[in-house]
Amino acid sequence: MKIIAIFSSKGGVGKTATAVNLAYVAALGGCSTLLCDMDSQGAASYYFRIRPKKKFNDKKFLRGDINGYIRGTDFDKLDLLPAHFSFRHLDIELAKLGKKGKVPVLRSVFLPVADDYDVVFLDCPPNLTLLAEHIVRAADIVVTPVIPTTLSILALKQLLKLLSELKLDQNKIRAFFSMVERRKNLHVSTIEQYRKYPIFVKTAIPFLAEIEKMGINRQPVGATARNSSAALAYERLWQEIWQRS
Amino acid sequence: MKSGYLAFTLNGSVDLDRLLEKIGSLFPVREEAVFHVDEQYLDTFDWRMYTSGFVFRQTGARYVLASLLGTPVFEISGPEKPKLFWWDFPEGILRDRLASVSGTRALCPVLQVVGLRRKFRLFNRDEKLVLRFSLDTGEVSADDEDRGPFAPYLRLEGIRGYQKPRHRIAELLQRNGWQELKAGESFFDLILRAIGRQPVDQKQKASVFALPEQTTSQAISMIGLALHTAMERNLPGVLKDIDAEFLHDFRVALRRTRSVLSQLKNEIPPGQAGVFQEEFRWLGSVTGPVRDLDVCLQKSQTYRGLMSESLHRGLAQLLEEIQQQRTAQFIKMQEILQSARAVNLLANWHEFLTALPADIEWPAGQVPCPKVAVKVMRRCFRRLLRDTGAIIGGEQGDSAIHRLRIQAKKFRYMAEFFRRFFPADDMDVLLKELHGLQDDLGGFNDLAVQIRGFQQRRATLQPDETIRGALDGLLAGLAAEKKRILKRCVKRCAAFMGQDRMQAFGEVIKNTSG
Repeated sequence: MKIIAIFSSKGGVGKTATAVNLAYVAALGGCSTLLCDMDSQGAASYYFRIRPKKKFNDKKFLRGDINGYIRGTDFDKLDLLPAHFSFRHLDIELAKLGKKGKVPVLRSVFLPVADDYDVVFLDCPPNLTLLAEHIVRAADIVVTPVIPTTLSILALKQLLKLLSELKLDQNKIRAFFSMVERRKNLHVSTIEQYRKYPIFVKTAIPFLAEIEKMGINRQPVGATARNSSAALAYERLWQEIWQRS
Repeated sequence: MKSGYLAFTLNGSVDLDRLLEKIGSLFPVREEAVFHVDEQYLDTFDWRMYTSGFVFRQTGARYVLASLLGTPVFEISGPEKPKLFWWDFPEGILRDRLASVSGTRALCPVLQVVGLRRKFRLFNRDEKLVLRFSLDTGEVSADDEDRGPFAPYLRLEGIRGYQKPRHRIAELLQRNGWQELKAGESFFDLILRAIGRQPVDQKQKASVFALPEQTTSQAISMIGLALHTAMERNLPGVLKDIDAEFLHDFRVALRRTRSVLSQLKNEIPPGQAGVFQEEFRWLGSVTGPVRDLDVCLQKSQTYRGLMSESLHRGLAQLLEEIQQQRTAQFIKMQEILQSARAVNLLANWHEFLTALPADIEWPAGQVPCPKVAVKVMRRCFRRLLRDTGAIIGGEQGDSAIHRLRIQAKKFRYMAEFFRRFFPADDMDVLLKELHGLQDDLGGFNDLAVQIRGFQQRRATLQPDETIRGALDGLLAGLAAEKKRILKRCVKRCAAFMGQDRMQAFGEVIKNTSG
């Protein structure tokens, strides 16, 4: 079982869209896949029309008591652990555990279902707190969307710093340019400046209306339009990430 | 990916509109797809797929290996042929699985299902999928003879985390006359039932044995008829050349029959035993060459391992020649097996065996079977010891090994037929020991036959240089292998003779009175 975190400390970079679409493509390709919605806003859960069970909460989650709360999506080989409103307290609960990210708490959360899934995607909330430390420690791969703008690049640098401070291998990061608008000079020049770094994969996800419409359709782009440019872009991104792993 | 399913069936036909209306009152329901189903189920003659917990389905060039309960395990594309072997499929996990289950047996169509599969989806108020179900209706057929509609089959596919919808629909179905399939029961069982079939393990087992209350004639008749059935059962497969196992099993039943005739000849009316013995010897001799060539062809992988890669091309040519020779020999054998002599032999033997118990003219046949069994077993055991002793004493040529092999077979066959008359534990241990020895003796004999065949081929066919090189390499490899197995045979013989239990068994045989 591989854990792939979709992470950025910056909000609005397309983390949830990435998590939902990569999980969908991975399942379509035959991987038994679990998408874990760790963001208390529950956007990934909303995209799949899945509500959490009332009895679920952050404490149960951190104890690894997740088996009874995972729900099947409408798609083969793709399950989802929906976010619970209490997940907004995950940092507090982790702090109570007093382990400060040194023990892989998050990894052990998924041990009870390790035999069920080939891949677990974590759709992470935007922050650089204790939870972020646990996430990057637990993940085998950290996929980080980067809008080709200054603040997004700054968020990437902060992620690199975080891994460095935690003495983690920076090679687990796979950055890609997200929400790319070729008509914007800033986007073009930023991509030009940074794409040479091996941390970036080749595939970029353009800014597309189809991706925005996921909120209306409430399903992955590939499920709505299998051969759309957005669906194909996510497929290429997944292939590149999977091959490099 | 835990979800689980429930399967239901209905006596009689299904009113789908009414059913959908009832389901629709609980959950919004949408039809997902309609498939025309035209599937063949493949298995070996002796149902090895089924007995190993699999079904193997074919639709055109698409093959699905599924669990008995219908869960697909592997899917693959393969050739469309009337009979298939595991080696006809591309390398991979499915091929390996087929190889381990089917061995050298052909996979042939056993059932054909033609019908409709309709798939539906149920949603909750968020329009989230909460349950899938499929409904199969249609007809099943086998061998063009048995044909009939199968009972409607409805399968609820649960979605993880949404148990309630599944329970509610299951309850609704039960209220409307649908019956849940019992645990372990599958769609395959349902379609088998529709035409009154049951998977039968066709493999001939030595499960026939004489009973204490039987006269010798009754026992001979019962054992002989069981072996006759085994020959008749395998004969169509032999004639159609479905796979090599038919001929092998046919010959095993034939050998056992010959053993009965030779070991119990004094208990059979004079004249008759001799005639049948001679005729069955002839049947053995006409089926032998094809079997020897089958063994040869089955060893092709072993042969490759015995020689350097540079000789593989020659080996391939050689095997091609052997295949051609096998085809020619098979045509001859096929003709002979359909000749009046062969057909009459089996018919006369059957007639003779059926009438035998009533033949009171021959007093030896009326002797209680246990009495004769003890006499026969003593004789066979004595000869087995004599021939095993000869090997240990240094007589280790092909003929000595062959003699012991035949003797061991005779002993085994008789021990199996008469096992009820001796202590089961002693008999089981002895037969287990004998089994190991027989494996090596058989291996040695196969090698001797192959070496002889290749030597003759080398001397007479004057093959080209490529084949000659392969033949030389092969002969050297086989000779070394034969030497190795001979050593093992001798060791086994010594161990067999030294067995305390074997000595004890000798005492048991000596002391058992009929």
